[in-house]
Amino acid sequence: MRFRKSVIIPAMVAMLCGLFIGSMSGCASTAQAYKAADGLDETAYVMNQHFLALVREANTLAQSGQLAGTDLAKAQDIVKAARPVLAELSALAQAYTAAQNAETEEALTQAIAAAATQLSSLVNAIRAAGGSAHNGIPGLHFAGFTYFVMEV
Amino acid sequence: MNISLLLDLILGFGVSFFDAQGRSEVSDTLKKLQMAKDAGANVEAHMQRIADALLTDVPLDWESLAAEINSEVDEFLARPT
Repeated sequence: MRFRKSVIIPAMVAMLCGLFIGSMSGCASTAQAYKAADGLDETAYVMNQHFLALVREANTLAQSGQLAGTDLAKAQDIVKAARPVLAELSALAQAYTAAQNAETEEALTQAIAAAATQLSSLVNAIRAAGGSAHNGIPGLHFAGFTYFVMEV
Repeated sequence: MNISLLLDLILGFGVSFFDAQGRSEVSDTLKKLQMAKDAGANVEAHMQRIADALLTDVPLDWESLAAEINSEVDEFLARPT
């Protein structure tokens, strides 16, 4: 049996998102939100919500003085780099919702992979600064995730 | 007993105890742990609301989300290092 690429890619993304959710330890609600996402556009929406929650957390940590100096500067660089990636993800998800075809699907799939890498960096930066132990997404999982999706 | 509640009690007691002992370096560390735990709980609470909304098929509000992200990111990037 031969599957079309347009069928394989979303299936791969779904499977890899599952792996990524599985790699998060001690964050039941975050994992639940990703599981509740139905389709690529909702996955993109959850990723944007996750980004919002993480930046809010970074603000909280900076406010309390836990994230300061070079750690704060590093986190700011990561957020600065992640912002356009997440914005593009949002635009592509809306384009995909408006017109679901192979082209919008592939663009969105790649944007999800790119956003996953950015979220991973942000989580790691927050954790390195002594932030909470939740959302323990090893960067390696995301590197593999990105590579795998791009290769499909 | 809920593990999270137990941890709250231990941290709360630890902060008061070491403050009373004059061991401010220990109580400061415990306060930081407490704040980190609270921040993590905030992310989890946020993501739980998203999970609940998705399960009830509430339409995705991309505009409000973009506005919230922009506001939060602007605030964060404006913080002096």
